[in-house]
Amino acid sequence: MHPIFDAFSTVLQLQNIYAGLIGVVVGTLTGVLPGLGPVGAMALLFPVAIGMDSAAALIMLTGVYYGAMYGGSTTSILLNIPGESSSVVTCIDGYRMARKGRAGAALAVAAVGSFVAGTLGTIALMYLAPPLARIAVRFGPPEFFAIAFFGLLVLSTLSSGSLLKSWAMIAFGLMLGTFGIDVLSGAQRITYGTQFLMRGIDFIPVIMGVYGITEVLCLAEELSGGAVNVIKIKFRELFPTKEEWKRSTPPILRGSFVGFFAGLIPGPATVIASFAAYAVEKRFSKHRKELGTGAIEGVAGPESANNSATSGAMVPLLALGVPFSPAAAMLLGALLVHGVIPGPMLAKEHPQLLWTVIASMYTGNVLLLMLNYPMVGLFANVLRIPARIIAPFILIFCILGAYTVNNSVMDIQLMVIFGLVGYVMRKGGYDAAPLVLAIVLGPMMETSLRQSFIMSEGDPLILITRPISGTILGFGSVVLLWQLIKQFIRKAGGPPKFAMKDANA
Amino acid sequence: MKKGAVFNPSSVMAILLLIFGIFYLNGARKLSFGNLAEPGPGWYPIILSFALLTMATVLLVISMRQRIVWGSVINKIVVIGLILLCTVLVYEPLGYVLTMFLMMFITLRVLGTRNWITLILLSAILSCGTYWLFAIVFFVPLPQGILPF
Repeated sequence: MHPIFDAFSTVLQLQNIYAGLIGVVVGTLTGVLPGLGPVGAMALLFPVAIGMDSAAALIMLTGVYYGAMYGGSTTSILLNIPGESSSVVTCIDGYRMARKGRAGAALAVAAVGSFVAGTLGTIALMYLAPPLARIAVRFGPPEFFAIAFFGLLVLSTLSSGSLLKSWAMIAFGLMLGTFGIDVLSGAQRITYGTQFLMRGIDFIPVIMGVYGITEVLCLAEELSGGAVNVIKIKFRELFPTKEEWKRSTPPILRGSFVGFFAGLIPGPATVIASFAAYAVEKRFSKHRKELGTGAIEGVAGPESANNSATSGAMVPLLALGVPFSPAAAMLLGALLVHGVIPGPMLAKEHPQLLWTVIASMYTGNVLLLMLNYPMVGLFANVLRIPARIIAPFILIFCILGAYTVNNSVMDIQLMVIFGLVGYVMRKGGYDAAPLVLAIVLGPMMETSLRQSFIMSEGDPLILITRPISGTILGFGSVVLLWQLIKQFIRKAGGPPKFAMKDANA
Repeated sequence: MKKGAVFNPSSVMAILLLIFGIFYLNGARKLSFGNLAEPGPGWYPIILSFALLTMATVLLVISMRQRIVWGSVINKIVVIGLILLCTVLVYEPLGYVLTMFLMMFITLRVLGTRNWITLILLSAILSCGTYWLFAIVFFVPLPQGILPF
């Protein structure tokens, strides 16, 4: 009998199920509530995990990880506020679906998509970990730069505003990521001697500002206008229709595939996974013209991808013993405390432990679905709450999110500033998503670029002569060129794209 | 459609980006630029600031010809902005619970809630409830301020 079945018989004991439920509840809550994040939640539960047996500890902590990925989508869909950076792209279509009365459908598809992707990712992990780990270690600074650059390039083509406005937001975000101490030289950069700037600019207050505070200001504007769109939700409309399930299936499968491989990349893999999945839908979906207006594919693909990426992130962790993200590092800590030393010898010397880890991941995923799918109706009913009551609640939510980053009121100041700037951005047709992604990817992009030039002694061709980075940048150039040609044709054939995006529309 | 003002939202955003770009470049110019073989801490920031300043200038020129207007209720936006700025100022001196209570109360009122019981109850429940969840359950240290508990 396959050792996975033995592992399941260990994992499916009552105390392990309870541990899993705790993990999934805490994870979902931290995904919904901004600022805490899966790493913070895992840290909170770490002392508890030490006292448990290995299977219970792993189920609980992987439950937190998966739960946070799903929880982040809840506020993205209901309130247009991403609970996690990997849920930023879900705001694009998820919130629009909610405004059309399809919040329940969006939440249900996010839950099921997350489950399917997590399951497929776990299966892929079982069979592909060793060969994929060998590819993952071939990633060096040029490849990391190429991935980050490609991600930003593709994102600029997904935005609803003009290409130039997207690039300006990307430059703005990259610049925000440079404040504070330079990682490579230790120099203080653009601090003007103030403590405020010396700390650097964290992306959470910026996200809370440009999404949360801006949303409140826009709600206030709608309320004053008198005609508030009250979303009526009927019970039978809470869940997806047959047509929506049919449309969701291909993006869930595509997102699972894209997300798993994105999870192999060090750094913000779940963020990259979600944006990459959206880009894939823009390219391959039969309903790609509807993306950006409330298409189910815009929720199914990214939400599946960010869950699948958590399985992908386990590949370097289990096969090489190297965590590529802070959350993976927490899992490594839990494994080490329980005597499980991940790495190339794990499968040979302790195969049963490896299968227990994999069974724990699968169980956490199932518990996530069992908890969250029935709650879809409850979450969707949040939209029945009048906007004049939701708006101040969002303010508290955002203030807490910004404050919990560093327990500093300066982050709240930053959030308020970006909230006001975000309002001007929204009225002026500047998309916030490129700004946010640039802040997240910017530090990795700069460090990788400078390291690449140091490695090559100043030869920029290193970025294109290495096969992996050359391929990624080549593909990115094609995408960019195609977008520029499309813009040129549109301008030649009709009114310019940016003039058509009247902010009053 | 109304004819857009020179200071429409798009041009204001372009101006903000220009101001930010100048502020940033002024800070970055003091850093060592280095060379391609050894890029200094100023290398990346200076290149980015020139890129942003160029794009912001182009956007400003384009946006001054666009037909985008502000909403008609900008005063309510300003009021909420002021509420937020005051919240930041009193957050640590007054403490989390009291600050959030006052912020909720005033914001609910500005947005149209008239019933006093609703105002007081909602503000109290949300400020105390979120304090319990974050400070007691998640051990997040929230400022106590002038309250004894």
